[in-house]
Amino acid sequence: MSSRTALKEKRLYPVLFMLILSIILTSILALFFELSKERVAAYQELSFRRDLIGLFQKQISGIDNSNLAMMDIKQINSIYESAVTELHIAPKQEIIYYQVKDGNQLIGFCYPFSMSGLWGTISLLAAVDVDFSTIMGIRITNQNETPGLGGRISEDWFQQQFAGHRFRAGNEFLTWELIPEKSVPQKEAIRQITGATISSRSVTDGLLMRLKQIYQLQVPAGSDK
Amino acid sequence: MKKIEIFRQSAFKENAIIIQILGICSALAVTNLMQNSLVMGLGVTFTLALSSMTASLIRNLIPSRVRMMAQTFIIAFYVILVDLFLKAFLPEVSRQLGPYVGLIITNCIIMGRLEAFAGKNPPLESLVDGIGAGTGYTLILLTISFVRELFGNGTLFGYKILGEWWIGWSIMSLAPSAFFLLALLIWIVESHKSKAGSK
Repeated sequence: MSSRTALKEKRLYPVLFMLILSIILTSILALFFELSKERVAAYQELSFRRDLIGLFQKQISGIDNSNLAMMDIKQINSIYESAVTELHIAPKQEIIYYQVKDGNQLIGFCYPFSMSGLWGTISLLAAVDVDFSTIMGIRITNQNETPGLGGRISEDWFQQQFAGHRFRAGNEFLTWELIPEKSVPQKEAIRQITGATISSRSVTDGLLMRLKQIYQLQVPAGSDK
Repeated sequence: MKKIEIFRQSAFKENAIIIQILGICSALAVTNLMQNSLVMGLGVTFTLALSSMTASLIRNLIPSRVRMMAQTFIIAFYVILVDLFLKAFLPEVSRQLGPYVGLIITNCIIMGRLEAFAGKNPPLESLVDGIGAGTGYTLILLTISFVRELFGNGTLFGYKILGEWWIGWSIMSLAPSAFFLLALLIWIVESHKSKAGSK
């Protein structure tokens, strides 16, 4: 009997083998994670800043859709740092939102929201005007909906249709009707994705609900308190 | 066996999806878009090839009682490595794929090839077998997704092919259409095989 066979027949051998395999493989993964984490974090931050600026690209001087995609990290950071201020909602300060200016002129606010979709959490950025009554745009930042169906909430046409929709008149919050995808665009109505009613409704209802919650937290538009 | 023959066998003669009926779950899930199918295929091929080679390298050391546990561990290692790599170097692709990368771990083809081939053959042959099985899997995924994306969305790889007049067939974007198409593909291949066998 060879020494290797004898070793393999020891009762502790499988435990030792798995322990050594675990240490080797997880060490390699930990090393790769450690080496790449700054790069990943930098991309996530850049992606977030680009998305946020993109929602206000018509209002911020000097950028448009075509050159935003071509901008490098330095340019994105420069615009972000001059136009965007991170704020917290009172009283507990746990909710972050962003105040956006063009020069000295306040142009709107941006809120990161999360809501339940069909398969998981949908995250988006919502840009609202200074009166806190009209959507300036939304950007889906993360979603796990069915590709080709609910996953189409990330398509430009679906996101862009929210711009200009009023959600508040005085203290009353409005609701938006869901209409078929091929319908002619209407005010106070959202064209839902064919075969993906749940995902379309999750975004629409979730957005309205989150905005109402923010309003109820008594955040005066234009105030950082 | 020659390496080219190993490749041909695992990619075509013993195609994982059509002949062995393995990896069906992912074939149903990702084949509504060609881009998802291609990236999933590449991810599976990479994981399969390297997992097979690694399992083959240590095949004489793996205790039989924890054999499958060790194989799963190796597969998970490569899948996480792919995920980390995509997040760090191809973040847009990672963003589009979402949860699909993690699903590679559950692909039965990988475990199947590790059990059937890599556990009994040398590392280089196992690597070729993994590449072959992954290639066969990718080709089937692309074939199904071609039909589903074209009729479901009127596009191929996201590019409009059928124009605005085309009204997409919603059924093609849903998993049941992949069942029908896969069954059709298996029927065609089996018919061809039995015709060839009877000649």
